Amino acid sequence: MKIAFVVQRYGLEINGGAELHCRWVAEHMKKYCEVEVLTTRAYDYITWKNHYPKGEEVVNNIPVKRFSVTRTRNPERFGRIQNHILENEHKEGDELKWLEEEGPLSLSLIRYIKDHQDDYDYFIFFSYRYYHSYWGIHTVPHKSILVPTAEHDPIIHLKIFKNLFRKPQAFIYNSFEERKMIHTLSQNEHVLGDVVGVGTEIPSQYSGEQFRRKYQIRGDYIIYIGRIDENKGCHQLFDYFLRFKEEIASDIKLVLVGSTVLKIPSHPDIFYLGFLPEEDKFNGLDGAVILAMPSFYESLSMVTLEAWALQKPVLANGQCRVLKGQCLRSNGGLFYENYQEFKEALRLLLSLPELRLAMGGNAHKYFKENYTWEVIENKYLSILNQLKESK
Amino acid sequence: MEKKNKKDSKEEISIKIDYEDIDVADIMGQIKRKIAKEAEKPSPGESLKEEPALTPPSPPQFQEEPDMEEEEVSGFKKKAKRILLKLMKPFTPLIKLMILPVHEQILETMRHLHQTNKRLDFIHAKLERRGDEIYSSLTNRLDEAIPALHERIDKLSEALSSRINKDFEKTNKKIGQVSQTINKRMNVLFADLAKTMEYTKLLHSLSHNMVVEFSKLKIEEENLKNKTRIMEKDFEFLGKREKALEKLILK
Repeated sequence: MKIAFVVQRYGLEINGGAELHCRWVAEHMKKYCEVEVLTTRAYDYITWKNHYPKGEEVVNNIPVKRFSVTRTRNPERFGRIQNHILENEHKEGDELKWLEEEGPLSLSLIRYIKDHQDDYDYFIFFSYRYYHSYWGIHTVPHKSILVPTAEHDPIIHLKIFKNLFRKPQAFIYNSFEERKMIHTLSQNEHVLGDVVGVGTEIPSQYSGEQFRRKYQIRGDYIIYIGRIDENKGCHQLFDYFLRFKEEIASDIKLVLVGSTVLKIPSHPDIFYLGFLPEEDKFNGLDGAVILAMPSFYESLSMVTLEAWALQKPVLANGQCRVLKGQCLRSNGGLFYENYQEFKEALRLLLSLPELRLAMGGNAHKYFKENYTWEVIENKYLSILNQLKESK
Repeated sequence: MEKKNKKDSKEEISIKIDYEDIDVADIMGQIKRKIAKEAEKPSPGESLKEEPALTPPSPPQFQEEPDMEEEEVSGFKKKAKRILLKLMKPFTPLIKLMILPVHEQILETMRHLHQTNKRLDFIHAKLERRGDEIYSSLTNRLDEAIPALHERIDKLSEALSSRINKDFEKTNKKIGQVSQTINKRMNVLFADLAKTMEYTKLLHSLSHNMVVEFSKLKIEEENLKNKTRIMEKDFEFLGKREKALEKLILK
């Protein structure tokens, strides 16, 4: 069986989001079938500017075919078009124009899929919202599998996507909430699909003590790992954390790991460490008492899974349905929808080590049952086999 | 002062938890009930402290989100609903205007705005008051601290200067001793150096004389070699002459 993974960007330098998700799955599925990646030459997800050389290369033993981006994205024009379609009555043509602006506009990639569709048994498209998925699925609907990586944002309500969600042969969802949302939006319950998500690589050794020594952090700390951005709820996290410190006598610290686009408040108990290597990231997680996950929009939080693998409870933003659902299903974390809830939940977690321990145990069990690579690979294989049988 | 007003993080934990069987939904339910109960308690400025729910920083929704919890309607109902909606579409704006509680929503919004204004006024007044308090307390503390600081600085400077003077005398003595030792050693070294210079001069003239003698000997050797070569030639000539004379005599 030969499978093509179609994704907007691909490379070892891309260390998050649907792109990393795709790379990990492709690398794990290599054991079971012939795998190839079809992608663009883009590295920058804002402009989609051509960066990688055109043609074929091998990345971690996976053949990768790169196609040129015909037109780069102008963020200003894109913002204008997006605001127009979100705030005004519009036609389907406007939405398709938005999709062209959204990009990455690679006509050669779509042409290749069309011309070489017989060379592959299935095309697995990642991220519903991009040009390659929309037109790729329209080109080969009978061989398409979609990994939507959908978040609860307004774009998903566009009419073009309602139809798109009825086209693929199968869906691989990241969460039950994502599946429910897509079912409700497009009534596509008849399409084969399963909640799979992604596994994660946990290093064999990690040490919280080493992390504390290296970064001179004393006492208990909450950790946030990811892009420090307003859309990720970081602004709110800073606000709530500072209010918490003002109201509650606690020595708790907040450690921030990741690149930032926000001004981080200067406070003796807020430590910004920047982007860290994987080893330090896991050491940091191991040393933390809780992982904070303040994001409003998540289709699947990989760092939450990593925290659960390390038996760390999570304090998540309950406004994000996926995170809330994950906490409820796993019993591995608490969530908040306003400051009062944040305060109470955090106080509870900080003051009861036995609660943290029990929640960490639950989280680890949930991770083992649902997110080890063995489970993920079997779910992918099961979907592929079901499709094969139904042919 | 402020620390005293803060609650301890371990205070007032009144959530019941079964550690053998953690139920997050139950814990969150208890937290929500506790917050609601606390909100009901009358306290000054209570309405101003109410926390509005979080709103994600996103553009307004393009389309209303369908209720995820809604039960599935039967196929027939769906079909009928679709047809009805299609028929009613031209009248949608009118129906919306008639049905939707616009006036109530405006009033509600006004109430929210009023509430927000009150909250902002309260926060502003609180911040101003707090700023004044901090400023005056800092000024008082500085006024109190400055004379004590001056005294401390004087004492420190006295202690430092006496310490420096003592150290200076000690260091001077040591420097004198070290310089005497160095002078003695230098004298010995200078005498050694003068001897070495004389010896070097003698060696220089000796090597010059030797070079001259070697040159003479070389010239003498060349002369002797030339003489030997001439004598060899003469010897050869005389040999040939001897052989010629012998032939003549024998004839």
